[in-house]
Amino acid sequence: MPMASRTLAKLRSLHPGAFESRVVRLPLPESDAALVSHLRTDPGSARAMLFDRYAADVERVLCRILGPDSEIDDLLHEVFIVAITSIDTLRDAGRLRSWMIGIAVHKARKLIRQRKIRRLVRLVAPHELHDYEAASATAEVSEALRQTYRVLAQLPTDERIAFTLRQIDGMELLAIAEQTRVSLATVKRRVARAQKTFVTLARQNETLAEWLEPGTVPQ
Amino acid sequence: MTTLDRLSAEIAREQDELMSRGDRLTNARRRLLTTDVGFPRRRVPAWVGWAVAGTSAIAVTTGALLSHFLAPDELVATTGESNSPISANARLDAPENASIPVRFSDGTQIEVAPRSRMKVISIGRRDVRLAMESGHAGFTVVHAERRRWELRAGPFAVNITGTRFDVAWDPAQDRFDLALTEGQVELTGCGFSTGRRLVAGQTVRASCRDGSVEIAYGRAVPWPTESATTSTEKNGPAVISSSVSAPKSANVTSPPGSTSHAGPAADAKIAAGANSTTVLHSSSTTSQWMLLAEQGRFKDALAAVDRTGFAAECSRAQVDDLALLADAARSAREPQKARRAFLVLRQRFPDTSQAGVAAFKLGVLEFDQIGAYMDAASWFRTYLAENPSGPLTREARGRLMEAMHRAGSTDARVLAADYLHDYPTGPHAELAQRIVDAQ
Repeated sequence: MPMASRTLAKLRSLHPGAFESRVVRLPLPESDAALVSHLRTDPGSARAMLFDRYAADVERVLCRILGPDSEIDDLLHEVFIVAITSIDTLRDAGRLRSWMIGIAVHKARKLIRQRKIRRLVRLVAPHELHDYEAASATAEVSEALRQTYRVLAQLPTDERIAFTLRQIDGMELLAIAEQTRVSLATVKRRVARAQKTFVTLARQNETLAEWLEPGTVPQ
Repeated sequence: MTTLDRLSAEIAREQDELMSRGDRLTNARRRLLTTDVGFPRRRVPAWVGWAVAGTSAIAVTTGALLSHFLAPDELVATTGESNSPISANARLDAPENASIPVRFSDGTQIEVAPRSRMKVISIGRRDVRLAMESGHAGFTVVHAERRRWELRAGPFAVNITGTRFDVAWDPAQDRFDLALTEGQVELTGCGFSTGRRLVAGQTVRASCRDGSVEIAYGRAVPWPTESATTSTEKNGPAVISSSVSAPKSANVTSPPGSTSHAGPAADAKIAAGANSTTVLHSSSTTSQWMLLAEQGRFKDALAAVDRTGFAAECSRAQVDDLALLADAARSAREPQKARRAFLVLRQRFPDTSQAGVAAFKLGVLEFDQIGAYMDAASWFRTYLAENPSGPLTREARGRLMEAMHRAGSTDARVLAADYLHDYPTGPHAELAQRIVDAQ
């Protein structure tokens, strides 16, 4: 008898019942389809799982499109509320992630448009533009982030969304087309137009101009 | 990789770093799990529908009865030392050198400033409506369930819950000012047709005629003291002030046929603590440089400030505007002006969080634009001493280490070792490791 087996036999004799075999149920990740089914039958308990699975993706998309913005917290919440309450409208349960991101894009677009309308009647003063605590070691990057979204605020909403998802987030063009519900050709056109406009406007911005001059990118 | 790609990559990295910090997702998760979500409807048998309808009808009837019995108490408004009652349609016309205090039985207090006129349109159990006809008034409204307060000022209307705020309305100039000290209000009318919610700390200046609205945070807003004068010189701040002396001839006019009269006692004293001085900056130059700065046109912004005097703006601007001015100067590569603005900010507003941030930014300024590393280190130390666990602590410690390293100080190694210990993956970790390895 090998030594390990002997030791185990001795322990069993000393602690009867302690080594009985048992099945341990591990939390296996559900497929999106199973999660959707779970949401439809018991949304109360499934919402935590939905949040845990997609909150980071939704937050990232909102941050990319909006930049530093105090309303992201509310939008994040709203995206999940919309998703949970309209889960019955999701036709292909396997596309849950894409659907969630689509809701986030829609919410961000709605917010940008509302703000543009408010600005038309001058309801938002410049002081209301959002500030944030810098994350990077260099003040230049923090300032560049702030100025980038100031410039982006001047772009047409759909071009801004296409630009931020493609240029900053690195999302595939096909995915952007799906999220924004337009053709691939339209997305390509929007991205190209947005890049051109952004560079033109950024060159007029003292902070961003430095970044866009070859060889003068602040470190 | 193009320069645009490089910028985009830095932006994405900065955003990722920001997202990795804080507890947004934790809070959002908690919020979602505690929200009463209106889950999708499920098909239910018809009898359930009838049962629900019946129950609802009973609930509505019960609610209506309860609402009647639970309505807020009747409100009584009085003024003056003798608490003369004020009835609906009364007009409060404050004299030149005294204000009119109005007290409501629920604790709400209003003070109509000298030379100001306010009309009490109605005082109901659920609804109080007032109209500011001209001048200024301070409000401390006590919140009560099921009671709605509305203040009209020309084309504007303020829907009030429990809150504290000051309002000024100048019909001749078509100028509406509101400064919210506590709580929330909703503005409607004119440019606010769909309603605009304001929170404590915000101030609003609006003109229906010009179609202009300015909303700002943290401007000075307290309320009048000395003789009521409103200065509207083009380049200077409009100063609104009023007297705190007891009114001798306040004119409270009750409508004909009313049973109540505001007798001679419209000579009430002003509620303690209700008054102080208001300075509302209205200079067009001020808003012009701010607009330019917010647009990233820093040099133009500074040029606009220089036209009226940089030093004057430093001594006049409120803390947020002063911080903006200093940042604009820093971004415009005008380090002397930036330093001056930051120093004035720290001197004038020493107890604000902006003062701490100014210390950090002074360090960045000395480091990046002047190359005075020991001075920079001194400012980073100041920030750390004032904000030992502030939001910029990690950056300040990294910058301090780098400044000492550039200045050739041997203290850099100790700072680097400490940095590595506390922030092994921080943005200065690589430099810290090099410093530790090199010495």
